[in-house]
Amino acid sequence: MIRPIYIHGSGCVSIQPTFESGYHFETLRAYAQNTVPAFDPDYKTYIPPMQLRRMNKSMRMAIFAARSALQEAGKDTADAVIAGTGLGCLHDSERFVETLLAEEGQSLNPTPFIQSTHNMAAAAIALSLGCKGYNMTYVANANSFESALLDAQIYLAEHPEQAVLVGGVDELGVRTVQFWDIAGYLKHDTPAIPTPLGAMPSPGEIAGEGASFFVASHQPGHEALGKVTAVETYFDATDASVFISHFLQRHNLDASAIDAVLLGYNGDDRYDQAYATVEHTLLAGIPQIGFKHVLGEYDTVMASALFLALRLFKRQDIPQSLLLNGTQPRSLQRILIYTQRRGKNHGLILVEKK
Amino acid sequence: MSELTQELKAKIITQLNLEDLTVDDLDDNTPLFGDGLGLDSIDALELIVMLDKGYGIKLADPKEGRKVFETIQTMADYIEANRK
Repeated sequence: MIRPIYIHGSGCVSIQPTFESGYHFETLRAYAQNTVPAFDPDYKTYIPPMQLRRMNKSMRMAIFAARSALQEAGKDTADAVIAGTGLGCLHDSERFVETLLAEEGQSLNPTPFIQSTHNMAAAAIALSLGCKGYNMTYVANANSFESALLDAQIYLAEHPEQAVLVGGVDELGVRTVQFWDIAGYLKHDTPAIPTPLGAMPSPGEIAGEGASFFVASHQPGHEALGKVTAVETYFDATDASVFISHFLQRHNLDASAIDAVLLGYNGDDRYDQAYATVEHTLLAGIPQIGFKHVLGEYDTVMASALFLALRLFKRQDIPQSLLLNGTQPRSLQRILIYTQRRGKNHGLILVEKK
Repeated sequence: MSELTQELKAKIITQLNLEDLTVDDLDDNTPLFGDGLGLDSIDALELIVMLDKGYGIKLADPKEGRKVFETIQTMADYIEANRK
């Protein structure tokens, strides 16, 4: 089994003001639309204007989240950058392909081409920091962040003296959203953030975007925000209770050892049953916390769920807006995060408060 | 010619996402690269595409580009002499 990794700093840009110091989801931004762009911080805090002008949203959000994490960790840079993204830099990918079609392959602008690759956000972080170390991007749909986290665990096992930046980022793209709509992915029936869960179930998700990054190492330190003890992914699963039960057994835990579980309910009645199965059986009686109903759905929203879990450790209080079953735990020491998207790409992260 | 320099300034601001600048901030003779506007090699490629798309001028020789893209004025002079 791979050793736990300690998180020393975290940063998050999302559709909520998560970039604000000490933000704890008590005041929520409300939206009535089915694609919600991130609530932008002042990117110039960390990115010089002449660099910022060319960067797409993924790059901006990723750099801001990464630099925020470093600042919280009290570090100037990291030894490696490991990122996950489901769809990469969508805006520039769309621009590049559309120009390719419009210009029949002639006179293509270089910027959208250069910035259309999935690894551009991790590269932009490295350029921003002058980090010439290991730089890797994982693209695995809704398990992209978990894949990056697994690689961070492996990398740190091989380089125990180092610290890495690990995170996830995904942005919205105009054309891609149209495709999602045609495919029936998006909610049309009174879309809203916060999404009412349980009441008036309807199909479709509310697409959001965001980036969360973490400074991780094998050193516990005095100021560690928490430690990631286990990460697992399952592409397909018929009963979430079964694989979560096996996951807990492999880590010598029973359900009662979990203080709270973060469940990725997004209000899509076609797929939320996976969470309901867990909520009403294996993890019944354990405080349950939602996050996608306030953050929207995107492939790497799991990274923002980890950001939230670390905030919960620090505050030892679950905001009412996130608490699904109304029970405040006496203490938050161990949190399980479970998510899936459209019935596939199930992911589990076990995180503990040091 | 003044009309062309104004047009070039607007195009450069849009094409290169110079969000904080307006046409009035750009002087005809400010160097576009180095200590002037501070553009870089990717911007140079964007300017080459702009000449092609906007004025039908293909710059084949990179050495020629260095002189053409010195300032807004040198760009305008080159376009006037070569546009199709």
